Amino acid sequence: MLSGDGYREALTDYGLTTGDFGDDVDAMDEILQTGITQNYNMSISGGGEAGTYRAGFSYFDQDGIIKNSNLKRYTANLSGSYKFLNSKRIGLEWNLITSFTKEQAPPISTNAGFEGSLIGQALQWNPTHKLYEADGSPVIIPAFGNTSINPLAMLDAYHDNSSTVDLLGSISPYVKITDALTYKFAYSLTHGVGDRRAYLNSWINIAGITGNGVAGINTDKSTNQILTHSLSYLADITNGINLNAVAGYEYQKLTESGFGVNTSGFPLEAFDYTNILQSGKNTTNNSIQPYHNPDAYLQSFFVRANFNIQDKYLLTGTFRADGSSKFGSDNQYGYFPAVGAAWNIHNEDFLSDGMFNTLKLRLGWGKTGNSEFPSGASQERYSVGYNGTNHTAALDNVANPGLKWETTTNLNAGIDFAILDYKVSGTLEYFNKSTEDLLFQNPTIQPAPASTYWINLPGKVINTGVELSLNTTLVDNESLTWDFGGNVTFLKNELQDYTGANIEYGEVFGQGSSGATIQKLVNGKPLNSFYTRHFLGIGDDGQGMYEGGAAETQDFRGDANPDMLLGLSTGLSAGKLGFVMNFNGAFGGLVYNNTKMSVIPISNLGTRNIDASLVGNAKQEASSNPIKSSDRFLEKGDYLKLANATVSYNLGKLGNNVKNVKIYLTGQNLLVFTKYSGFDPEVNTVNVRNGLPSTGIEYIPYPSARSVVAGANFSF
Amino acid sequence: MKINKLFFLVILAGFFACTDLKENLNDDLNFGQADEVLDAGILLSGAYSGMNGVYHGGGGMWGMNEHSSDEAIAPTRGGDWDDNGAWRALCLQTWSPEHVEVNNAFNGLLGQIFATTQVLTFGPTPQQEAEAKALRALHVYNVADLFGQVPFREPGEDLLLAPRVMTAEEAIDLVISDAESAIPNLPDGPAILANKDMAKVLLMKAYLNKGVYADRAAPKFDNGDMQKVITLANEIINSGKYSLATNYFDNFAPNNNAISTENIFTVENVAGSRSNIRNHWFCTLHYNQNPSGWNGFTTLSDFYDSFEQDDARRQADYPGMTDVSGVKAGFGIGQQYDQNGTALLDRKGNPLIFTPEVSLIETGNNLEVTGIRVIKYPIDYNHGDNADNDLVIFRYADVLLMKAEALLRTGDDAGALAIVNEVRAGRNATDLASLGLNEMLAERGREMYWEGWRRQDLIRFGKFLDAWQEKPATGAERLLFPIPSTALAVNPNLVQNTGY
Repeated sequence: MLSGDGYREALTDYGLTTGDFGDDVDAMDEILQTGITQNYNMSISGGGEAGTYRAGFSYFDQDGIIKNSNLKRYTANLSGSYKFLNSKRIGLEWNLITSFTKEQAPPISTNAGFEGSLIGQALQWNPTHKLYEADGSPVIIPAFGNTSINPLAMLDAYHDNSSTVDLLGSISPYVKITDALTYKFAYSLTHGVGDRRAYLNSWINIAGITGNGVAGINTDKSTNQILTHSLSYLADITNGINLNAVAGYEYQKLTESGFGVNTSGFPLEAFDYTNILQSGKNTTNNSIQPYHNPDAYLQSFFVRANFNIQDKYLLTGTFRADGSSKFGSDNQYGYFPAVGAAWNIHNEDFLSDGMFNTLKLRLGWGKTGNSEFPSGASQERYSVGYNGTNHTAALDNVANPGLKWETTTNLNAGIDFAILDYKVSGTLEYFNKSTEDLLFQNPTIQPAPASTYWINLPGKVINTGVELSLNTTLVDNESLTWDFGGNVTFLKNELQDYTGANIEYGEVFGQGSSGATIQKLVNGKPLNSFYTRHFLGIGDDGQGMYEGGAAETQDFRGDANPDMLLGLSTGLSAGKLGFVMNFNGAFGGLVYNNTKMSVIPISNLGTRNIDASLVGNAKQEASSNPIKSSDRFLEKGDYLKLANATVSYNLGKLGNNVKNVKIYLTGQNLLVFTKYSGFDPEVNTVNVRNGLPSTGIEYIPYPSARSVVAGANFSF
Repeated sequence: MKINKLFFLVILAGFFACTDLKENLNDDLNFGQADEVLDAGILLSGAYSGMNGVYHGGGGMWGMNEHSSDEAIAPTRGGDWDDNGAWRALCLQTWSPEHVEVNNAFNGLLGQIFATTQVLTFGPTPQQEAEAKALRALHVYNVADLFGQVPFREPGEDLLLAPRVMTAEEAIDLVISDAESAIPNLPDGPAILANKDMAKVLLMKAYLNKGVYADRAAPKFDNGDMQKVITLANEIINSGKYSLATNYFDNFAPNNNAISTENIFTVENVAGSRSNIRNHWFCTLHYNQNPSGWNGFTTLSDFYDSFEQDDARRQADYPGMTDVSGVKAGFGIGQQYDQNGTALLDRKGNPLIFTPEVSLIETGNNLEVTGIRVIKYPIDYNHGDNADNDLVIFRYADVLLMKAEALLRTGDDAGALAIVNEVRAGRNATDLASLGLNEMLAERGREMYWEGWRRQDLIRFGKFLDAWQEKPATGAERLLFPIPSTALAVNPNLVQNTGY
């Protein structure tokens, strides 16, 4: 972004005589605030031999770093356990958590077009134009264009409050039938009810809203019930051979429903419009949108056995049969076996010299299933409606009764070691995950009632990698301990044996790029591969030049997946003083800077703000150079972040009653080392196009906050 | 605490649940329920309103038929309207099988073919069956016209299997037989329903263009086909139901369903509930006009110059529009004013003067104001985004001009000239002295501009590949749009059109 003076300089460079309004403002700075977070926890516990209980209460209050964003959560939980009979062979555990959350959200959306959302409005605001009128109220219609929105006016006009009540209850009785055999039952119920009320005042300068205002109320309700029966057996079978086996059954039911109503055209400003929805005059924008999703049922049968032979050889086998109502009637069940073996070499006689504290070889193979996709895809769904004159009905989807479980086959091999009295330990692991029958939205075979439908992907997604971790204790004496650890993972991703359609996805947003996509799914390439133009630079005429000339050839330009992940941590404790620091990083992935491309392009010059890197270059970019997606906006997303750092001091006992007093100072997201020019290389603005979600595109996101927390723990 | 162990276990067993994993849809009907409770009429209503998103202007089929022609252009204006080059590809006829609007039109039209076919599986009355088949014939006709191939399913076919594909000629035969068999059971009107005259106009289009579907590069016009066009036109003319409108723009007005004397078939827009017609003015109005538009599409000055100055189709004040906002019906050129006669400014504060000059890529300081704007549909200020104007598909003037063209192609130049001059007289244009194919095509352009027929007309007259203002000459493969690559990948019975 340019400052007011920088903007004036740019106007002069371009010979523009309009666009300077004399001021020097920073709109982005004006919408940000220092957010204060408060968090209080209190718990009491007690009990005796027959039973225990614990009760806790907490209050959390967080201001976001954008003005008008706030979250408050009140939580109460109660849990306990009881044992019956003198033999204590029957017991019961129970848990109850309730929470109430209130959230105020600013007007930030991830798929804003021409008007943009708050962040875009702030980035675009002409830095030479005042934000406030003389009376201190925000300017509503700026002189540089009546379609530009003052983010401060937007903050005043937009009201978005939601509240959520969540309830979780669980009870799990058990019976120790014999010393080795235990039966356990568990039931849990999660129920959430959310309510969102939002409105936009009629005085804001947005076409369609001005003079009308708009308001809506949405409620959402979900209930999830899980019931489990299990029988476990734990015993020494013969000398040195130990068996731990479990067999069980699990049942789950998920229901989701809700309601939304929106209207516009309100008579009076004095009200919160959501309190007077009945007075909305514009039938044109009324909508009533109830939903009640198909219920989803899941039931599973499972067995698991672990053998431990003299602490040298460990064998594990599991088998699950999972059934889901989401799949076609012939394919509701998926069968998922897994086996694993480990060899504790350090327990062998030939390594009894004690050089290795741990030396363990591990090998595992297993299949897991996934059924995470919307219910109702395997059968035909007819919806009914009203078109203004008649009732209507239509088939909405292409049913796929052959849908089956997505299955990932995981092969991993690793070695764990620890030496020097555990002062140096580490792991080296190789993994290969092959996902088949990926649940996927494919183009329909027209003529058809929809453009995409759910299928199992004809192909497989292969993820392979090597992970290396090393932890060391550098200093360990009475006055000081110092630990250092690190892990690094090398990753590779590829779509193989894919015989389906090549699908373009990864929509870019903003003015001048309607319908543009920059990602493509094809066989032999990684997922999240970018497919776009190659930018050659700015030509003598100030226009962008692209590979292929006027044809502007699109091709593959790398992918969003990191090749390497890095984690570093260190901890230091000296007496009562403690210090912990964690870094994480990712390298080798690309990020598409959609914000830079669409929100602050050179064509804004003369009216709105532009990206600072667009001026002062050897070749001047013409202000008429079109907004066009290309690898010009594809940047390296490499970063290393100081994710958190904590200093703590243990005061111990204060007086006679207050114990375990500890004070601490924690910072989160304190430092980012990156060359990425946007908000945050870790931020991803997901959008779904042609049924595929995008990864690696940044578009005017909620900026990530740097936070510092001071706290104290104590007990009585 | 004494609790009987057995009693405890019995309680637990009561919680044991086993499910057959049957899925309830809750807010939708499954096939069995639909089969029981839905009738063909409610599905037919769904098929009518489904046309709303497919036939309206801007992109899709309308964009493919207009932007590829000599009467519309979508200039890239700096930061606006590059849109991945999609509009430019249409204007230059350089579209690819991945083109977003080509995909939208293909999926949209075939979705409508599915919806109308499905009405037939729900036990329709003879009239419902006739309406569904007449609508389907229109959709099939448009797919054949744009793509040259039509994937087609019989009622009840498995949607997971690739359907057979008809050639354009097979598809036109189906259109003709379905439309003919539907006519006896179709209603007489109104224009928002598939009616007898709608089916007749569709038949006229099919016969008039039949030679094109046999050979797009060098169409031959069969005398028998032309006679059918004339006979059908005479049936419509002699019914006495239609006459040329006294005000040309009444045909497109917010209340055109009541006041148009020409409209034969329209897609109904219902004020306040279903409507896409606003695209037709938003796509062309400048930001500082009322309503604030998207400042996009314009016409070309060569096309504008083909009108006589007093031609009623060129520009007119329209009541309810010009007195509300200053926007005039027809072409917007020169200084623009508001309703009080105050001159409007552009976003940079310069006078808002629409220039006749326009380039496909605008690079000048005036890139915001280039090009002559087109307001075919008078703006409905009473209903904002959900305007009432019905979208015109077939109207009487088109019937007259098609008859004239059929007469011209069968050697009756005098008969053709008389009809063309009748239309021109109705539009306050002077009589033509003579009529050849070039004048015939030009008159169709002046009468039917921005109604979605220009590409078809240019192909029929052998002009579609020619160079014109802002467009170089193009190759014969452009006479067809490509089959979208995703459609090709999922249906092996489709074969990519030659040249793509």
